[in-house]
Amino acid sequence: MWKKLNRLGLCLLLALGSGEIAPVQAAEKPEFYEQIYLSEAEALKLVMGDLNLKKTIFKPTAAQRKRLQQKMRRKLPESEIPIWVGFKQGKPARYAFILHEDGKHYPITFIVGLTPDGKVTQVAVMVYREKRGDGVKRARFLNQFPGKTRRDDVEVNADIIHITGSTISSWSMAAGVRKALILHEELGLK
Amino acid sequence: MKRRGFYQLHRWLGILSSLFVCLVALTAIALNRADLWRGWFLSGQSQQAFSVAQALQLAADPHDPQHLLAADLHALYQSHDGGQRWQELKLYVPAEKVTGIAFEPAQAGAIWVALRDAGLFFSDDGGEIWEEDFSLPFEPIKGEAIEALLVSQGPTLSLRTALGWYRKDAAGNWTQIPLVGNPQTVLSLHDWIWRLHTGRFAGLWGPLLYDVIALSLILLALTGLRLSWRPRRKKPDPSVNAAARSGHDALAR
Repeated sequence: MWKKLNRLGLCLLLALGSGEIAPVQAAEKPEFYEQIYLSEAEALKLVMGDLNLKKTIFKPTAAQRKRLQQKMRRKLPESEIPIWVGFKQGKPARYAFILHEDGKHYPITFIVGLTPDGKVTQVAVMVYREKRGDGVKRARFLNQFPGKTRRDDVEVNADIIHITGSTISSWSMAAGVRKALILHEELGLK
Repeated sequence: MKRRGFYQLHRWLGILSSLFVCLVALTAIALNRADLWRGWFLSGQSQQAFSVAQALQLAADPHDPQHLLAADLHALYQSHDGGQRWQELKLYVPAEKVTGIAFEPAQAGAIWVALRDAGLFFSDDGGEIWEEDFSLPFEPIKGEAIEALLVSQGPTLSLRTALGWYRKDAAGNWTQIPLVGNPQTVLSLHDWIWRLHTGRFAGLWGPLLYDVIALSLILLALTGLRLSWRPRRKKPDPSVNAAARSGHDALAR
């Protein structure tokens, strides 16, 4: 009994005496928990339907990168971005971007479909990599994006309402859709 | 008479308690389901004119005295004419609940912004391009909110949260100085009360369970109120009963 009390007292003393400067590491990431909702083929089928697909890779030049970053108000980490073009009777009828945006701890992979005149047609979550916060895959959230263009803010608390419990993921998704719209504008896709 | 007075007191206390239960239950649901009602208040939020009177945070650029940054609860603003005119300075995330703005004394155009529940953001070009500092040794979104930011020569960056005082040196290493007086017991109590009120303490299912309980409480309160307004059943009058019984006896004879 006394031994236990002594040990408890020692622990308390240690706790109270810990008011010293101590080096700390970056906060630990939670468990990687990959949830695949759509494969690349399924996502493209969902957004592009039966259009004839062609994949191109966009490698931004230094000047393009600078302009993109200024428009996005953040760094562009990717050195190349794949773009899918859906052709109908030889003409581009739809564009799709598969993007990876940092969620709370791990990236969220999702697809954004755009019309040639730069209007969002569809957004769908493909892969979510955390246990919590996957509320952004709900239609209630994703249905806010179709119809958005470069003229819209596409920003949480401006014209997008976040999902409770998935705040950071909602921000990431909104930022990702904005990125797709900016890429469409920058590349002059028609 | 005394009994009747107690009945009336009990009835009105019951009504008031029911209304209170409704209020508590509805606010808990509103906190948990903010995404359902926030849309009503979105329009024109960022269009409002800003003045220094609204500023909760304010910082002056040491390299340009006319360049000021300020923040209210909802956004970040900048002025290039000493505060005469302001325009919104957008981050790529909603600049809500800014708890610290700091210019780096040694580097022109370097700005740090701390968002209470989101983290720390940095721009080295006067606020055009932002990036998040992912090296934080704690997670604001998990409850250890940022309460103050300080950037000094070095550069040394300091952040105060409810649990500690964190310092980042020029090499990017963080050190922690726990706050004197073991404040986490007192300061995190507020967060715990909030979590208790919303059910967040029980993880993902907590808010859902609380919603069900809150709706049940609202239903109980409303049905209680309905019953309290129902007219009381009158006791049968003994003289009427006696007359009826005697009439019945006479007929039987």
